Amino acid sequence: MRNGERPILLLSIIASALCFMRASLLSYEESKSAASLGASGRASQTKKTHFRSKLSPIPYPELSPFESAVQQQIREAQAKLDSVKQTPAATDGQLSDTYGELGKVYHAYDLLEAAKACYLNAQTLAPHDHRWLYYLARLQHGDGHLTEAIESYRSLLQIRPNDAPTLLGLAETYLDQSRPELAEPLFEKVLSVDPSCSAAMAGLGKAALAKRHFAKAITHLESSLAIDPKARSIHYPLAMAYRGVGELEKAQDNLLKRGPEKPSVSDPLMEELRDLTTGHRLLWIKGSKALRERRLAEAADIFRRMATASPQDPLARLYLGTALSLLGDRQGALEHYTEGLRIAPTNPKLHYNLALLLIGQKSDQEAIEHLQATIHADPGMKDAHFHLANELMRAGRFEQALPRYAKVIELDPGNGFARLMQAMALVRLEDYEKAKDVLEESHSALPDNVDITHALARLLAACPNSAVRNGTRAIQLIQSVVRATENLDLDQVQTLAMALAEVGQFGRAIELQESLINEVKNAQRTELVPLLTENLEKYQRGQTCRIPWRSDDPIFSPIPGTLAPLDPFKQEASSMRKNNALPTP
Amino acid sequence: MARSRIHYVFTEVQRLVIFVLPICGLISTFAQGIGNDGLPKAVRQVRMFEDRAEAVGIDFVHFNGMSGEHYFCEMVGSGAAMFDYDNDGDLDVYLVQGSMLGPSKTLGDALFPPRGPLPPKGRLFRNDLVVHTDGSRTLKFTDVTEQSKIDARGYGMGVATGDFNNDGWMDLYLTNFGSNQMWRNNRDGTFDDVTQEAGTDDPRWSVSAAFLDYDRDGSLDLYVGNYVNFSFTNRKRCFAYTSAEDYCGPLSYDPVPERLFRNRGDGTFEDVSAKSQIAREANGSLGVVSADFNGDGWIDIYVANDGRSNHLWINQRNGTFKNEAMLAGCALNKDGQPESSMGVDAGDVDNDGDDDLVMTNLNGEKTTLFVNDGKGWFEDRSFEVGLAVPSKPYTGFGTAFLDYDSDGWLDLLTVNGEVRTIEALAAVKDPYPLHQRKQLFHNLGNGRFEEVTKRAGAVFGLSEVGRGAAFGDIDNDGDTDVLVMNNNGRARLLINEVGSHKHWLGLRLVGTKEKRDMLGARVAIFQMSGPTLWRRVRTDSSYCSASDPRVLVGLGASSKIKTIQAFWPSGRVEEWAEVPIDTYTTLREGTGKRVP
Repeated sequence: MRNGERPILLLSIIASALCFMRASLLSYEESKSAASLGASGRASQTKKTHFRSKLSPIPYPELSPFESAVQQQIREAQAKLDSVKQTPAATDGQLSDTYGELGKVYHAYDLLEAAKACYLNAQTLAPHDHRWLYYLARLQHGDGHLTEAIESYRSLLQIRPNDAPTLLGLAETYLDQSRPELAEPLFEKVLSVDPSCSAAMAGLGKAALAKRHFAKAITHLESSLAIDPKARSIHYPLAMAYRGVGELEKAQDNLLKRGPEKPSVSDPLMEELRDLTTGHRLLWIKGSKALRERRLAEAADIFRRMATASPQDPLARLYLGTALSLLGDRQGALEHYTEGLRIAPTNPKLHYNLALLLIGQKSDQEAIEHLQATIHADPGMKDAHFHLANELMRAGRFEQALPRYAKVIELDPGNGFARLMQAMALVRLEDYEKAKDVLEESHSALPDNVDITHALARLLAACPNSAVRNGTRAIQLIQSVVRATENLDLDQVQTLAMALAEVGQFGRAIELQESLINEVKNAQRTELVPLLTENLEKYQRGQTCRIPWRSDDPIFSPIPGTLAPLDPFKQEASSMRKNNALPTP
Repeated sequence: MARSRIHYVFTEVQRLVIFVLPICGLISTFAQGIGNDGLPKAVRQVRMFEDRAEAVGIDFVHFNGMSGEHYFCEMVGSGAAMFDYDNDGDLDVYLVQGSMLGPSKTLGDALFPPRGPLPPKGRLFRNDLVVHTDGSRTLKFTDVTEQSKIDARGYGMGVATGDFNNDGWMDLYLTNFGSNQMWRNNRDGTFDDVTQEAGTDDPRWSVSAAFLDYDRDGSLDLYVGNYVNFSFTNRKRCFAYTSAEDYCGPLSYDPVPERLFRNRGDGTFEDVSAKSQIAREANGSLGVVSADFNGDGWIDIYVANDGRSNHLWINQRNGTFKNEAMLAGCALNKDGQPESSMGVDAGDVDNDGDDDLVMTNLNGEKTTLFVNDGKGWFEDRSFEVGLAVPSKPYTGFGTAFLDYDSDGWLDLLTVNGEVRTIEALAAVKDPYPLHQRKQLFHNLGNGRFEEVTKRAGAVFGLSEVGRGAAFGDIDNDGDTDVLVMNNNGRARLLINEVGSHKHWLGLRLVGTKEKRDMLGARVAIFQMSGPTLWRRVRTDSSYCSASDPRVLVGLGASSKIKTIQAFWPSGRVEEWAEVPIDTYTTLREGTGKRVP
């Protein structure tokens, strides 16, 4: 190095060192400022800080796939942020709020990376504002980033140590990490503030279940159900707990009662988020979620909004009608189904649901027409075939009922009722041999079905066609019914009497028939006595019965069971898939 | 708390010194070289699997027939089979192909035209493996589809393999969106379509199928899983939450009952779907695995259903089955919710002697592990074992337990690919925005799994629309390889590069009069130390696919075992000692020492 260069080098080194020290001092100032925010948590409303240098850029996601109302909503929130950023007088607090609100809009529409970035910026500007940290925690939890979620929840608890949704969120995250020992104290803390919080009680139950403390789990879960009986989701872990202690009947009982409804928790921040969604299809998603979770009044309200916003949308009418029907407002449901069909005359679900309402009102011919329209539009809808077949039977249209029952059996081979009714239709048409074939095949397919076994026995005992009759076999079949049910009802005893008479055991047939008449009289069912006496007199004359069923026997008029509307979100529905089934008419 | 200024400045300096040096070190490491796969060269040398499909002659690209209509079935298939069709001791390969979809659609309407011979149909590749005297292997496949006479032009979904006529030669059952096909092996390299003769057609949408001897009469029966009643006449249009059109889900359609065909033993089958009670409940079946879940010696059937509760059909030993999944705790996840289950496998992951269950599910759900308590009751322990969190962002299909590193503990591989548009991919105009990466999980032997995907090889970095996966030792070197099918993508053959470095035991269990692989047989390997290893003979499980029926067991560092016991489907139990390791041995029923 030459002599002249040495001083220059020295000066350069000193200058670099001074720059470095200045930068360090600046960051010291920032940390001092951060430490002095105080317990209120909100960013200063009167000044800008150096936090702004730490903000990250926010992605602006592609919006073209969204419907226009949603695009507009998101763009407005983005524009508001841009405006605040460009406003020199805007405070950190204002900027934080704007980032946060944009984050909420992104979050509501599942644009999660963008939402996260907004929340992080909002939180940077207002580190003690619990709102953004909470949304961030929920987002992280939902996304499976459990470690980050725990960090966020724990930071939140430093600001609001008794906040129930936060305590519950953190506890649930610990459960997801299979750390029930960390979850338990949090659930207990919630209960210490609110002993009627069924979610916390259920959480304690799930924690105990995770530790295989089954008895304890039962105690907590039963308590939770006592607080909130509509929270049917509790029945499943309760069933597993009962299974764990060997109480299998109670386990089965709870399995039958399970459902998707979670214990209700007041969570104002998440409700704000839910209320943000707009747009026709997103209303549908919200409404269908409410319907699935059996929040029927809420579902009806959402679908009503949909129908009002989109008067030409038949699906809004369909789902509104479904919600109303489940709420018991049949007239309201009927009106909306009818309106839906005016818009979309060939929609099979509208036809089907309307048909069920009409069946309930005993408007059978109208119901038949709508069921036929259903099948025309959707030939694979087995329930429609089933109800149509039954309606046709009730209307005495047995020949038309036959192919419907055959279709039901093809689509649902395990449907014993359809098999039985197919045979009954053949009996009414006096095609006894075919009826016997159907019953034999059904008995072979469904040997545990008592009704089919009994019907076959009755036909073999009393059929007018001698080629079909077989009294000995009829007796065997009735004996198998006795073994299966440990008891015989009135019809089955009659069948046994018929079979005994058929094999020549008139004395026993008379005894049975007489005891039957006495039972009926004792039960004040005197209207049945003449019918029973008719057969008794035949047996007394040494004659057999050749009428297996009278033409007015109720078996030929199947009574509709539960006429629940076609509910796309019934018990078996999975957790919501983001794009599931928004069908066009 | 405020610090003194001078203290703060010095702390900054210290921080600079402390952290710069390690960073420099890292830069230096990377400067040594990064391969084309994005992994540092040093890491690349440890890869576990390598895709060699094209290199060995398996040149196959799946054609899904999509034309922009978002038909439900176009993103569901397809599967593959590893099976020895020519009885030369190595595994051949059958790959299921799609076709053009939709009324009045032609190949010209296809968004992604078919690549490969036309018309598109399933392909059979013969394995011409050569093992050299020095132990090295040359793996080579030849497309013998035309010679085989297998003409599968339907919209292919899956494949099941089994010797249904007990002549010692593996047959094929192909499931379709539409009529299925039974291809009987003629023992001369050709197959005949005997669907009508056998009576095993099902014209509905079938996905997975399995051969199993449920009535223990020595003949393989056939289970067929049916999905939903989607058709071109009842199709619905579905939309994503963004309002863009997207694929429908299974809840948009009614589920279709499953089928069970009983083998009469004369080449024909009887449809016992109703009689057996299997058809009683329909939930939209996608994956199937058969195993004796309750330890009573009779094969049961577990069905993975999509969006509805899964089925555990427990064999009642009288020709009927009862669905006991609910009480058994394997119908729903631990929150009591049904999941969208696709692929499934059964295996003893904790080496306690019973078969546990794993199934792949939808993005946002998780890969679910149900641990068996030995009596056929299960518990969802997906979170506890470490599978839940890493699998949640993925939609999984083909899956199986495999001991890829031959340490005696069953690991897990899942093949992933979405069923609905990935918005981030759609935003950049990806033409088929459903692709995801595969995953590999290592069983740590302590009740936990660790994801090792990043170390598994470059093929695990490929983002594809994964569906079927067949598992088997395709190069007969003692470790499990994997054949992966991608929807609208290339078939991959993942050759295992690590498992054969440890000791292993290979077994083929065959019958005496049956002459075939005894599907459903269980085998217990008693080690010199360590737990007893239980495996079973099967070709089913995963998704739409059929795997190697041989049993392959990793022994780690152990060069010897005590004994082997085989539990035959007939109920007979036999024992062998002195079975050699690091090679395949055939155990024939009736030749072992009977165990009372």
